Amino acid sequence: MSTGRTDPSEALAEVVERPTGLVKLIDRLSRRGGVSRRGLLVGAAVAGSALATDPKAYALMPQTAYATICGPGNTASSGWTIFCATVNKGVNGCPPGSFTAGWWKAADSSWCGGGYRYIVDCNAKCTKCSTGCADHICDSKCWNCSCTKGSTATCDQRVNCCNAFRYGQCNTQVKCSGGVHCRVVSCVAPYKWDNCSTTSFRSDSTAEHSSPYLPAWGPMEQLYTAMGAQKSYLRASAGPIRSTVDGTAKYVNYTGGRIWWTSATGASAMSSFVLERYAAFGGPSRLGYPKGARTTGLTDGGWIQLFQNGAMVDSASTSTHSVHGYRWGMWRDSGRENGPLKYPVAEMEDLPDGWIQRFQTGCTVVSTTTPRCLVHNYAWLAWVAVGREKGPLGYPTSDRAGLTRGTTQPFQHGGLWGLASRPMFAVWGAVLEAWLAAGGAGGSYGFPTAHVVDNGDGTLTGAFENGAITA
Amino acid sequence: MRRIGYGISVEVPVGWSAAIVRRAAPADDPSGFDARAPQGIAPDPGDLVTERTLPVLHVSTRPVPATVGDFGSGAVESLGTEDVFVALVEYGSDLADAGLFEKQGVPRLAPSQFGPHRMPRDIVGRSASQHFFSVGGRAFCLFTVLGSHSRRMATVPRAAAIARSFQIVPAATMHARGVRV
Repeated sequence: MSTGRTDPSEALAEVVERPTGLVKLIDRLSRRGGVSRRGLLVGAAVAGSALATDPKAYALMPQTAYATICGPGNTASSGWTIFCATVNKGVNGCPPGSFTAGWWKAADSSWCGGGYRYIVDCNAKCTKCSTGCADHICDSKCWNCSCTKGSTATCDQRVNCCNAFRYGQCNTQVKCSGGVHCRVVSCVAPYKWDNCSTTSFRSDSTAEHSSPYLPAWGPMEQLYTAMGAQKSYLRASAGPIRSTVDGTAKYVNYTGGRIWWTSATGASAMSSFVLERYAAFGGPSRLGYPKGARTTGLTDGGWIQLFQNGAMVDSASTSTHSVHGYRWGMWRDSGRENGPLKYPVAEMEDLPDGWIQRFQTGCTVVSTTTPRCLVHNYAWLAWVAVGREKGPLGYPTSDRAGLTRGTTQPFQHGGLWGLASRPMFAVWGAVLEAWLAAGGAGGSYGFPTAHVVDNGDGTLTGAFENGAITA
Repeated sequence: MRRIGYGISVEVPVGWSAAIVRRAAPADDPSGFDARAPQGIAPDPGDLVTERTLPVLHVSTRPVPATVGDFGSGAVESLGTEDVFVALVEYGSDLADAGLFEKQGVPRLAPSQFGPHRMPRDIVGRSASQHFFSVGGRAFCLFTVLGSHSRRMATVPRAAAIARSFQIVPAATMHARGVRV
């Protein structure tokens, strides 16, 4: 049965990847024939990336945008091996049927902020046969890939699965392999994230080789590198830097999550799980963009990730929820998970004339005629017991207040009273009027000891410390 | 003339050039993260594993530039049809005698081992071979590039003579001398 609701992931994708004016233009041009949509789109993306990553060179030098992005030796005739990101659906990781077989580093790479860039060869496995292994490279007919030139749809037109060579520092338990399928890159040494030796080789001529499917250096790659790159929960990048439809944010997808960047928030990472929940909770349009990394180690094994308009939070006793807008400010100011409400147990729920968000020990709530209030602990239990906003009390009109011997919280049609650290009870209607006339909690009757009950004959009865009132 | 360094020696024919080098280890950046890391993200202790560099021997009929890559990038591009480039690249005693480095002894080079696509980067006309092996508890790769695949019957014997002249001090002896290999 259709619920009529959009898949949360699709909703987020719609927010961030809805066709832009540029894409629409490309669609129109490609429909005229002659050039594929993909070719036009890649070309446009490359030009944009070239301007973003090396605008001076792109603007002043007599070269193509392709050359600026993909670097020197980007054609098949150069003999260099293609990047995995180009042939592996944008993923900067070894494709199925290949493995990390060796690495080298190149100095002064602009793709790593001017530092070392590590290039890792993914060699094919000998899955079809095992002949020719006397020199540790099986015959090419045994390889799990075939030698091809790169597609002309991208500037990374280097050869794919052609060079029978092995650098040899990784997975040395594999005695015989096929040739180099493709190349993975990282700004973090591969012995920190794969089964590789620390023995370092060097070839600086590859420092600027790249692919339009790899993220350029900037705040997002800087964060990714600081997190340990492929060693982090983000794992491998799965495409270049992309922009949101409204242009307020940029992001890079990874196989294990996403990094967002805005000028207001800087770069922040989130795991695939948090990203999926973020989408389900409304994504950027509701929470805004993340303002930092997920913080773990909170009470009850909890974690929190802060956003421009709220937070996502979880604990061992609750599932993942968001708190945004006014609710976020109220929860934060009350002490968050260490305050009287503890962790959220539901998303904000719309009410006919207001909204409520429930927490482990209370709620934040508002109506069109009452202010935003917190109801928690004994007050929350009491309010729920008498029917919450649909019961005789209606909505709260203020937060809980202290009395000489206890506490109270006012509601539209009555109130809750309780002795210090003891249950609170609801008093309303004619009983409330009589009790208040007698001095209320400070009067002769004292505090209530039970909720007011409807006698079914048009009268109410309230029980108090020093007697009962029926009215 | 015999060239010696880091427990490796080779007989260098007259007119050939040779170098046995060990690049400086990157002591400035043990974590690989350095000042590029945003504030507030501390390196994982596991990231403090240090990179190591080990000896590399280059022998060639052409002058070997100081900036040559470990597997000959920057040198093999300029080889003429009669030229030869030989690299003996060390991997570390911890990798010796097992897996990829299981074979023992310096391999004997033969023309049949060479092919036109056996290089990190395919260069038209060149030919190369690659062998992984161990000697005395030290792990190596012998990488040989010929200026011309079609001239391999004439040039491989010259490269083979270079390989036959290798003398390698065992790892235990090097360690006793205080040299990490």
